[in-house]
Amino acid sequence: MEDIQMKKGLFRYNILFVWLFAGMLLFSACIYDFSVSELDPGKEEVSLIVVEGDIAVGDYSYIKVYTTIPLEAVNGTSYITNARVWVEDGDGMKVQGTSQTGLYAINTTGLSYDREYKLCVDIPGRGLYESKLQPVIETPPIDSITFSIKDDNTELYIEVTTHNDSNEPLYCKWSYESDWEFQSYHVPQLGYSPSLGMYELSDQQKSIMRNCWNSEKSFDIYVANTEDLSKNLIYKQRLNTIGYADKKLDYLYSTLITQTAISHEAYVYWSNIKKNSSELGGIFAPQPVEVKGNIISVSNPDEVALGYVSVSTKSVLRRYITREEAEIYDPDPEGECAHVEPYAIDMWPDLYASNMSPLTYVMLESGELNRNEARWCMNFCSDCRYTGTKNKPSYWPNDHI
Amino acid sequence: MKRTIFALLALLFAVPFMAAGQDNYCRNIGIDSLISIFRNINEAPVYFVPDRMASNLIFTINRTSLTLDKDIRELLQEKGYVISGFNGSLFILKNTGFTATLPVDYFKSEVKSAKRETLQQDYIDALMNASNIATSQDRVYVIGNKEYPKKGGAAYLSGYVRDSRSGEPAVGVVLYDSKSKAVAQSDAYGFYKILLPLGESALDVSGYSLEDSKVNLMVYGDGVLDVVVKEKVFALNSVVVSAENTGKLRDNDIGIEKVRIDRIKRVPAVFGEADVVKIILTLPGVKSVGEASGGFNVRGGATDQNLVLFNGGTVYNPSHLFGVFSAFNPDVVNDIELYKSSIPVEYGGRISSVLDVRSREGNNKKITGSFGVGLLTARAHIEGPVGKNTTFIFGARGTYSDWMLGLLPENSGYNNGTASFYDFTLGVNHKFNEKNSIHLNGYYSMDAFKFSVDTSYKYRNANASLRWKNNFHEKHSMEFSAGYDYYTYSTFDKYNPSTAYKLSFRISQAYARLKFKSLLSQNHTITYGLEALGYDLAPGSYLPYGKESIVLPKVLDKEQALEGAVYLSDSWKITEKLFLDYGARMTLFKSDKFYAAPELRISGRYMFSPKVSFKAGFNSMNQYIHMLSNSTAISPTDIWKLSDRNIEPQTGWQAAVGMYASMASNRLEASVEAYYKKMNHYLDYKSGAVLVMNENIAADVVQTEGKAYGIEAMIKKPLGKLNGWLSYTYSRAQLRESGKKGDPSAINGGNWYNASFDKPHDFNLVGNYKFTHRFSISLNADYSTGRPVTVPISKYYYNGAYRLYYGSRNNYRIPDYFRLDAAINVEPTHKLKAFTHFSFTVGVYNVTGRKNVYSVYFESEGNSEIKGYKLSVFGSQIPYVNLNFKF
Repeated sequence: MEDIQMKKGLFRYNILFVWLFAGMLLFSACIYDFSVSELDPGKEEVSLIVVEGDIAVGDYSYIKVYTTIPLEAVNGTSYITNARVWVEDGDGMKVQGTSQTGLYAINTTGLSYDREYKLCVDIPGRGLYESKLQPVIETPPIDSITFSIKDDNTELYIEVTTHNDSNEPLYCKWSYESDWEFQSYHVPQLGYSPSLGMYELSDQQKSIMRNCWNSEKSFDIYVANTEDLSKNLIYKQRLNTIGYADKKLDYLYSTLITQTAISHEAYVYWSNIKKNSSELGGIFAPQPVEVKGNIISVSNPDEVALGYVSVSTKSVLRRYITREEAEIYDPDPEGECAHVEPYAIDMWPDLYASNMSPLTYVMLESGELNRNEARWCMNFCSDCRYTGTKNKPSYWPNDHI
Repeated sequence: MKRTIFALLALLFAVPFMAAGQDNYCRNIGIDSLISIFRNINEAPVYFVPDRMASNLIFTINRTSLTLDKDIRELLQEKGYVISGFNGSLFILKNTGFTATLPVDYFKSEVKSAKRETLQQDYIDALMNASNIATSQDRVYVIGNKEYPKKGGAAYLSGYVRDSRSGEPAVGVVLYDSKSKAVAQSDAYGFYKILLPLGESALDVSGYSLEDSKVNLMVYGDGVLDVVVKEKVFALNSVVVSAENTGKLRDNDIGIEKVRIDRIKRVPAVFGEADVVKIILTLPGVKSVGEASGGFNVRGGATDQNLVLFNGGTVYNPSHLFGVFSAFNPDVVNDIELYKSSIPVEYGGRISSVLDVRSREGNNKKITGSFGVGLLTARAHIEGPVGKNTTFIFGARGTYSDWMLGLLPENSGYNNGTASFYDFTLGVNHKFNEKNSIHLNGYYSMDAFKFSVDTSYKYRNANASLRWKNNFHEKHSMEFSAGYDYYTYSTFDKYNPSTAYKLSFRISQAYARLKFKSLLSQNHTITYGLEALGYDLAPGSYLPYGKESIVLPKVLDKEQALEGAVYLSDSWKITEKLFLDYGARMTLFKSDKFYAAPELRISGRYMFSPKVSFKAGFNSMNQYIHMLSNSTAISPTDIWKLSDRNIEPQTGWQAAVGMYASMASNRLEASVEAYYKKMNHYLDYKSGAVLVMNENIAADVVQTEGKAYGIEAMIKKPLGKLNGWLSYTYSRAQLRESGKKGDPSAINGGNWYNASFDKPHDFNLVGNYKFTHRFSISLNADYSTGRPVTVPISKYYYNGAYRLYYGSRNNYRIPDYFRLDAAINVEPTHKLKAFTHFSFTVGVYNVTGRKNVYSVYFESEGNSEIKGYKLSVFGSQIPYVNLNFKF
């Protein structure tokens, strides 16, 4: 997860820079953890309705309904599972959704591109919530997904390019789902367990330990617009950043980018969410902004409800990047996996207990294997399952098991 | 109601200081009283030359004695005085002659070994034919023509006060005639004007770090006298009165603070960089949102409501290095004045305060200079005479802090950053004659910093000004000034080559001001004048940067406006004890809409006794230029906006009362001031508004109103081995959106919320203890309530991560602030012949290493949790050393 730090926006860098700069001058600027329990949140406790999701015209729309939770609450979400959710057009035509533990699916494949729609959520005990009635915004296709490499070869940026043929400025929001296959650093010949002792691995076992997969969904907010540009073109907009030692680049990386064209109002909303999430606290940093979406409570318009529901079509595009293409990948920057040492048989239980795995027997001068001495390395260097899963995506373009 | 309470509190505080006794007239009288009795019984004019010891003498006489004349002569002879007749006058002199006291030219520092008789003759010549430079307190200077004495009771005396060593004007020197209670203070040029009764007068001349002296006068009519004062070399045990402490008591203005640069240089500062702006944060009623933030808040006002003047020019961004330092070179600055409440009628344009920073004029005797190095900066200055009547001063300062950035780890991503600044200050002063002088000043500062190779920021201030001072008549003087001020910033961002841009902003303004001062009569001094200020703002240009950029070039329309003002005020001495300054300023502003608004400036002073005074004041102000910012500190990308048909001028008024007392033989000054203040049309941004390159900015800002009140108490000991001040402030500052009460879409529902600089309790100690005249230690303590910040009250998992829902604006306070700094100052040797003088300061900023919180903030860490952080800018001890060489 080392790339998380690198995913912050540019401004975040700037703020950090100010502290770090000051810190280097003074050897004193510092950032400390601050527990939310110090805030005395009892004063203003609230439980607001949140509606998450868009009306995806031409596709299924997935809507989540839940309430905000106290800051100090253990991570989780308080889903509202008994709401009625539907999409309604200006004439009152409804498309009802179906519920599945807080996730509501609405079949919006048949919606018309030239009507206006709103999302309605009726929550027992709290009343009816609605989004604003909005026209359908057609999302242009993604022209390309590219990547570029930072000058010092430490980072790789995934970039998206799109354009709009109309004269209206384009406001876009992106999200992505990434899957990647990676391989263990070593291909071990041996296995060890306290009960079985040292044993030779079968080819199938070797394959299982060799190839693994991981996945990730975007959690940062990626938006851009063409308001101030001479062309209605978003060119190589950076989305996520991948570090040179990230396992994503080890074998094959896939990213599926979803592009949604949004309104100017929605763009402002998402920009503010982004600011509040990651750009606060510095000396010149903006103060937190109030973020209200387009959800209102019909019975009590003064009630604050959160979330922004856009009405758009979506464009998706997938791109693969291989290790060879990425060029910058270093599978073992700390030299942890390259570190392999022979150990005598009496050490083996202790090595196993300290997260190490055997690779091969040591070869005697005669050319025979010394079965009382084996080379060992850190276990995650010889078995990818320590850091990955065997959940191979259904679309994966190779036959690795 | 609260105002009344403050007024009462102010009175309560002050009551103990009001008990001041009176002398027994017949017993234990001083030599002055004795001499005046002697004068009464002698027909011939009596000249008495007070020597240094004279003031310590105590006499007791029986006024009814038939041999009073003889008694007094005997008493004086006992104490070593000789009474001799010469040209029909009586001279009372120390018995061993003049050389036994101070030599006549003591103040010239060049003692000649002359014969006693010659000196005596010179001395008497001097007494009879006054020269127009007062260098000695042992002489009596004749003002006006004895043969044609002026009719009426009073005459005007004017002239310049100068420093004996450098010949520079001595600013803020108080001349006080104890007999008529007339008082005058030398202005920025060292000029003074005082109305004295005809006859004998003894002017007390006192100023901060000056040796107290007396000028004995025989006034027959209007005249000119330059006074030469000498800086104190040694800390004397004698009782000293200084401008810094009696200033508050005797000034009519309320809420005024003056600090001289030598004081500023001794106060420990971060990195040991003497800072003329940071010093005012130690004064009561002045706050900032946090250390290392540019800007300051005066009595609940916003940072853009302070007019920062440097030699008359407006400095829009007076900070260097993100606000760590202020933009003025301490080697060139003479003093600063901060007007917190009573703003003199000649100033206007900002509703909160005026900070007037003035540079020195330069040594008029010889070329001198200095250079110094600190942790981050190097600075140098040179000054001296050019020809007979011209002096110059030039200072430069720069940073070499870039090397620090190289220390950052390579993979931090920040070691490509840079930060640098420099500034230049130039002053040229020419005195045509006694009545005319001109002053040319220039200032230029540049800051540039980069966070990464992709983004850089740059801002510059430039000012040029010309002032012509003309004392065209004994009773009337004129000052004309004109100048040009410039502020610009630019930033470029080439993060993505296709959207790389360069953004820039500029303010330029030109002004002309004409000010007159007339002494109408013994009791009225009027100040009047007019000024015009033309603004020219380029509120934004957004241009593509690089060939690949497809950014659409966009240049916002220029904003232009003309601001004018006419003003008149009268300083009226109603009785011996009651003084009133009252005046009005009419301000006019023309952009696409015309605004005109009168402003009132009233302040009064009542002297209960020479040691206790009460003041009250009211002033109202208008402001036609506004800073728009969505950060709490002044940042290098803030927008300034002129009033127009959509943006109304900011208005404000303040009422204040204060009690001032000088105690312990004038060694201590205590003051308590209370104020209430209202502000209107202060601009706050709408949540999430984008302020840069906004063509319709009026739609994205909201007008707020503000109220502030507080009470400030201060005890000051300006001189002596132990000197410094102690201040405490209780104050509040709150804002709300105008006319939106109960509107849920308004900030905080249209209700009052605390301003981000609302720090109710504030305690400051600035202390200095002199062990010897070369070694002193300084201590600085600062405590204040934590500032309000907006914190989240709830969270929700949205779009792949936890998001925060923030509560009402400024709903939480960060922990209280406390800091202690200490420094050891080693000042130069006083061997006057030494070619260079070396001084240095070693200190520690934040001695206790307290991790004062600048801000708290929260971030979604990855996709699973919210992390809270506290940022501490100077979170540990910061040792520093600062070296200075003078030549």
